[in-house]
Amino acid sequence: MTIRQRIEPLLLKVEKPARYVGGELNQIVKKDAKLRFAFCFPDNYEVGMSHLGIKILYHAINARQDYACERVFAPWPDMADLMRENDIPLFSLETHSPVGEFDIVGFTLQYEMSYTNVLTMLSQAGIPWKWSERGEDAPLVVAGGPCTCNPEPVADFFDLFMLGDGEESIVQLMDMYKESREKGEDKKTFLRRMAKLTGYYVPMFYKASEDFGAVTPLVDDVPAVIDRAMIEDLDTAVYPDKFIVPNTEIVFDRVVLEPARGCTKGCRFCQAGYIYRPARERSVDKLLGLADSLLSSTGYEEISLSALSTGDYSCLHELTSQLVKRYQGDHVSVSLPSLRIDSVVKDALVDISRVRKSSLTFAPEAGTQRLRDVINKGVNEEDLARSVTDAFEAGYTNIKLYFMLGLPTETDEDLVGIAKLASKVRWLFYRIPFEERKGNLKLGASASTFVPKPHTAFQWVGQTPLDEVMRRQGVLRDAMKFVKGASFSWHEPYTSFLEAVFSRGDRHLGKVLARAVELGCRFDSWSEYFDYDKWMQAFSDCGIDPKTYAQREIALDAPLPWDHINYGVSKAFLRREYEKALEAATTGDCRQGCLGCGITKLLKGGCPTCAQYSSSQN
Amino acid sequence: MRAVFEFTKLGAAAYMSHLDLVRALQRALRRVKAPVAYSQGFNPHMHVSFATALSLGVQSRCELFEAKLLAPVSPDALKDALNKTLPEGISIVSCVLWENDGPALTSFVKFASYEATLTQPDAAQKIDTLLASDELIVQKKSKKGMKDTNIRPMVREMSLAGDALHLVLTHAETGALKPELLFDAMGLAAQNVTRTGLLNEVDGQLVPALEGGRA
Repeated sequence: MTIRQRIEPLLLKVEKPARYVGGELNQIVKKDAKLRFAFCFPDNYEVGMSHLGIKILYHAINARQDYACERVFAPWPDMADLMRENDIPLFSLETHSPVGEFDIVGFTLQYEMSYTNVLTMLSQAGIPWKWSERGEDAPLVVAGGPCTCNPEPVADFFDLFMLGDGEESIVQLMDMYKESREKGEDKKTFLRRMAKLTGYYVPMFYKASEDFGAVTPLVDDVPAVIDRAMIEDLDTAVYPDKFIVPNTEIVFDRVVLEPARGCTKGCRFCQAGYIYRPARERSVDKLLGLADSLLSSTGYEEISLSALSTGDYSCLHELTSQLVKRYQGDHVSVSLPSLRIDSVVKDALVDISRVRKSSLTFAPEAGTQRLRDVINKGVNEEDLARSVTDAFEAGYTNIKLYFMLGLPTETDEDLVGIAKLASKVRWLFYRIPFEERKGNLKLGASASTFVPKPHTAFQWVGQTPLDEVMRRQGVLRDAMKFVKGASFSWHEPYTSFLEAVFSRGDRHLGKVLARAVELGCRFDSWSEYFDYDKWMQAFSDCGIDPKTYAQREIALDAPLPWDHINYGVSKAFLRREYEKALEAATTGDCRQGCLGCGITKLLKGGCPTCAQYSSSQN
Repeated sequence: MRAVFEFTKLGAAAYMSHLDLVRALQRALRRVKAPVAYSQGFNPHMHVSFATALSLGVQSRCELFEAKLLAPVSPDALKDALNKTLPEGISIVSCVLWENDGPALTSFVKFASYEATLTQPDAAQKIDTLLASDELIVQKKSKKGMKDTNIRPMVREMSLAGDALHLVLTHAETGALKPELLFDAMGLAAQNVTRTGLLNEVDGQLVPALEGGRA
């Protein structure tokens, strides 16, 4: 019996059986590929299918005739338990093949709380967790995604990490692996060769520090510092012209265009803003062409523009007005993700609101100007006032405001400032004459817990202790009660605490992760499965205090366990930014002039962001 | 003008919910650029409506839906275009054009026929027992909540040939009996439950719904 036949009797016993069936429009099924890549997203179908990265890489690999990429998502616990009871291994969707039979098994590491699912999926596939335990018969196990900027906590489990832009490096990896296999080489020889190339980190050739410190080469022919892979011209980079259309509801089910990658604002807490530099854009023509093929191949009714700072895309208004002009008649709406408050999007808003209005999200992040200056979120109250007023005048009535709690130098006054901002937004809405308002205001504010991240200006800062975070949540909750009609949401800080541990973690955490999975931890980003007690048990069993990692205040000149991973922005630049933060001094947008972050050293041409290339102080 | 479609939902598509199915058909209509009308108002959506919904896991060879058109189309061309783009398991069996005014599709459906596989040894005996009696009381959902209902009158035909079950159940707007409910009440484990027809009653005879109510 095939796996597809064996799961048939189980399908009506589980939630959302469509998760395991496949057969969706635009899936690519290649039975005779020379090299097969199992792309594993360590979360469920609905989450994984909403992710843009997997679509781009699926397309990039499958564009090569002799390569096949198949999707694998984490089976939900109800199905996972049934599969285990019935000895059914983890399988891919396109052909229902066992994951353990693929040549390469790749995971995308999008957030630290997905790590337990990685190990669970390896178990389900019958693949040993550690690279040291895998023989020549086991697939190559690799990872990519933003968490690879500090891969050490999971360095025991992967043969190779792909750093930076994946579109070209994933295909290059497959080309080199195919060649290596044809020559009959063993994996170690192949991996040693990859370790010497830009963009690939092979942990087996490096050793971690005894204490919290630098990672160094074990052999002399691998680089001490590994540079990330870089795609300089986004316009010529591969992008799918078709998306797989799921047969069941997922989180984001629409056409997604990526107008730009990277950001120039330099918000000091934001890892993405630093690791995706430089800011690169796609041309309007290219995007319109993609929109056309994506809409006709899917039948979707919504286009979303996905970029770190869509409001800063230099041709935003031209793009949105073209999209609305072409597709309004077809009932296609355009949605924008979280917008920077200081970007001029009014014209774009008016255009896109003509079809269908959803909610608008703004992220002031902090409640007072002082704290916003500390984190370098260069927006002020006038910007917020203007942006929300523009939104209200364009007919939007559903506004979400995002904030963070536990930021460096934060005081209770800053927390009350959040409530004051929400109140101001409410006041601005009701200031609009009754006849011009399009309904009632739906205002939501949410505050997540700050997690210090590697490769940011705050990488040396410890996370605010949990009980203090909870006290601050209480202060904010009380202040928000005075903002009539506004809803306030927050999350219990336990997952943020673990995120802080793993985010600035080192290789010693590998055993904690393994122990946590042995104890049953899985789907940690889901509140119904997250088990804080089991995690604490895992730490205790391994003799590690998680607070040492989460709350660690690191000396500015100390070696870091992620120093060997180079995403381009120099440590000296980050240090200067941190020192400025402590004085609440702001740094401008590098579109207005190069600030010398160091990214130019990774570029062959000039910095796409900056009109002039300049070698500045570092 | 409305286009009325008969279609299948088989294999992988059985695991799509009714809402998933609605979305899949709407998207297919968009991909082939069919001139379907949209509703007015705040959140415009395509004017499609279904004769009836199908439970998750139940297959069908004979579902019906209609789409309101803004302009006439060739029904065969539309059928072929859709079949080239629909996901696995869903295919259009026929497409006809009807006038706009006239009753909605649901009103033509009074009964539904099904087939299923029953392998348990006491199946034949249980069926005989049911057919011989006047009553089978179950808790059935009604507008006022769960209520004791006699579902025996809603079983119009039920016969077993080997392990192949044939079933005809009431499926009117006033009340429909889902096969799963019947199987549960009788203690039967059925596989491959497939709807084989949506039917109307004309002069005491069962006829396919579309035929019985051609506008």
